[in-house]
Order: sequence, then C-alpha cells, then structure tokens
Amino acid sequence: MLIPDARRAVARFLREHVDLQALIGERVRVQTPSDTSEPWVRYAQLDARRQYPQRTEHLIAFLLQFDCYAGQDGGWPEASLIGRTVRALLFEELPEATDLLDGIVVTSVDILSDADLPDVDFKPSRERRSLTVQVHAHA
Amino acid sequence: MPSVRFVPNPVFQAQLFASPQCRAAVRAHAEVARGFAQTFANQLTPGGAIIPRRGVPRGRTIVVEETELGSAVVNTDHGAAIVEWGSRNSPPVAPLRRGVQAAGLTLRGDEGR
Repeated sequence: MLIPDARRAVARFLREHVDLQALIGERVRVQTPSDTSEPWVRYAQLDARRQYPQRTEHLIAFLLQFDCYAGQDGGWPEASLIGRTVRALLFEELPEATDLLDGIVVTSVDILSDADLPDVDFKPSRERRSLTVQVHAHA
Repeated sequence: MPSVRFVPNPVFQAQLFASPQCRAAVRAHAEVARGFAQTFANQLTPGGAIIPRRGVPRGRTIVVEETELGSAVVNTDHGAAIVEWGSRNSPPVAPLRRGVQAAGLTLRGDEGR
C-alpha cells in the first residue's frame, strides 16, 4: 500500500492559495528558482513515519521543511510575512482542505520550529524564515 | 480514620530531571539519537562532516554533550547549519531532526520545553 504524496499535495495547496499568491505568485518550489530576485518558498520532505502502534501504513507523520525566502530587496519584513502566512495556512487551513489535497486527509499539523536562518550561500546573505512542520495525514 | 494530606511539590519535575538516574536515562536516549544522526550525516560525506572540526574523529562528528538542561545531541561540523537546514545550493539533510525521530523520540515545538 502506497502512502500518500503529502509533500506534493501540501505544496500545491500553498501554491494555489490566494493569500500566498499575493506575496510570491506561484513560486512554491522544490528547488531554488533560477531567478532569485523575487521571493519564493522552497519545500522538502525530511521524513515520513508511521504512527505507532499501527501496523499498517495508514496514518503517517510527514516531517516537512518550508524555507521562506525574501526577494533581493525584501529583507526580514518580507521573509517574516511570507513565513507567518505559510505557517497560518498550514496550521489553520490545511486540516480543512481535504477537497484540495487529492483525497488526502490531514488530521493535524504541528509547527515544530519557526526560525530566522539567513542563507549564507547568497552574498550578501539572504533573509530566510525556515519552518519545520509535522503533517499527520492518511489517504 | 487516619488520613494523609497530599501536598503537591511544585519543583518535583525539576528535581526528578536533575536526579542522576534520570539524567542517565536521558543520556542513553540521546546516545541512540546520536547514532542515527551520525548515520544520516555519513550519507552526505563518508567522514560525516563537510567542514570537519580539528581533532574530531572521522565518522564521530555528532556527539552528546551534557548541559544544565540535560543531554544535547550536537553536530560539530563547522558546516552543520547548512547540513541541517540546507541552503540555496543544498537541500536539507537534517541529520539531527531525523536522528531524533529514528530513535523513536518525538520532536516537539515550544510546548515541549
């Protein structure tokens, strides 16, 4: 039995949400975009663990990271606003968005970490708000 | 009929966690998490670090340190922030977060402190 592709569904949920589109358009990507002058959100799946004591692959805890980058001129206020918007959408709206998630049911969302982590691979470093989120979901 | 009045100890949890037995139990769990974290770090580079710290043995770049608050699993790699969180050119490897989960422990937000 295949576990659901929650990473892809959650990313699409964010990409198509009007509140986030107002800030970054549809720049929710799994890789850094080639044009980094405008803000974007990059996501990654770190883990997907079956919820003990289940013995079937039903309820899965997806550990996801969302990096909310400011644009070239946006600075911390922009990174902060994008990060707080993503956080609110995931925590408040994602569990209610079954119709938008290809049938995936999100039972709860935990915000595990919400930190200012400038990306020093940029010169000068680029402002980034990084969220670690656990999404509990099943098909 | 005899009775006993129960008086809660407001510092019970602090005293419990400060006890040698509890600290030993926490350290044992930290060592398990350390082992898994090292495995994940070694997947990135064979020595476990992209910028190794001088004097740290290869493959033992993640250590357990004792602090006032308990045991801490620490990545001694000078590039640990990039390894854990990623950057524009690197996806996050997250050995510490994944190591904690692989050990059967639970990552918690602020309410877990």
